[in-house]
Amino acid sequence: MDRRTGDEWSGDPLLLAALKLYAEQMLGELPSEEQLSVTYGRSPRLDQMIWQMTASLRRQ
Amino acid sequence: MNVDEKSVKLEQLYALHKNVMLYTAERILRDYQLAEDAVQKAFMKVLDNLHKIEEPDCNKTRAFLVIITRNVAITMYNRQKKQAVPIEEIEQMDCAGGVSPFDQVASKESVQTIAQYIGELDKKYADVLMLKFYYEYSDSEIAGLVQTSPENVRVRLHRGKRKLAALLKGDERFNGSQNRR
Repeated sequence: MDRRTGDEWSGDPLLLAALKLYAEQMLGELPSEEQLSVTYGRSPRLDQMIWQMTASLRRQ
Repeated sequence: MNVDEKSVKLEQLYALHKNVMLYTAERILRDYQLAEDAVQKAFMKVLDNLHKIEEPDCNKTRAFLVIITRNVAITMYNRQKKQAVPIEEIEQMDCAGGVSPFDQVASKESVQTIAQYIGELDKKYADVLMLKFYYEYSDSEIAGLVQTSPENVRVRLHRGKRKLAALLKGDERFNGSQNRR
């Protein structure tokens, strides 16, 4: 048991290993970055939105 | 973490993972501009948790961003359809206490089996299990990330744990004492 959370599942090494593997399998089902960049590589509107977000962050 | 460090990390995350985030959002929303809006919202949520992201260029971070984007997009989709996400009632905890179901076995095969069972869960349960136990977020932090209430997070955690425990219980490798009879 994780004393901090009081949860028997927290910090269980077997569960952690399984969650890590699940994450890798989930990513493995997605198209490769090369394939994705063909469709999503150019995104000027989103680039602008994120640029504004970082600019606003820097102004703080 | 100062403002410059935050900005640099945000830009790194964007450069590395925006394509997979756009793909994830567009598959749910079926609209490129809405997908862009979802990715921006996902980054706004990530902004508050940047200090927890240790390594921008790794599978753990990539999976985290996919999970957050998926939840933002689903919320947008539900709002578009004017179908509020049903508020799940709080149930009595009936599997959280006692012994962890993972105590029984520890092998490479069992890791693969548990991962497979996690993959069989509804994504809303798998996502909160990931955020809670893999990324170690609190219930309140998860609620902010997946746009629901902390109560609903607790319900999803409870149900996810119960469903995963039931799958493990039905697998003789995780239920040796009962099956040896």
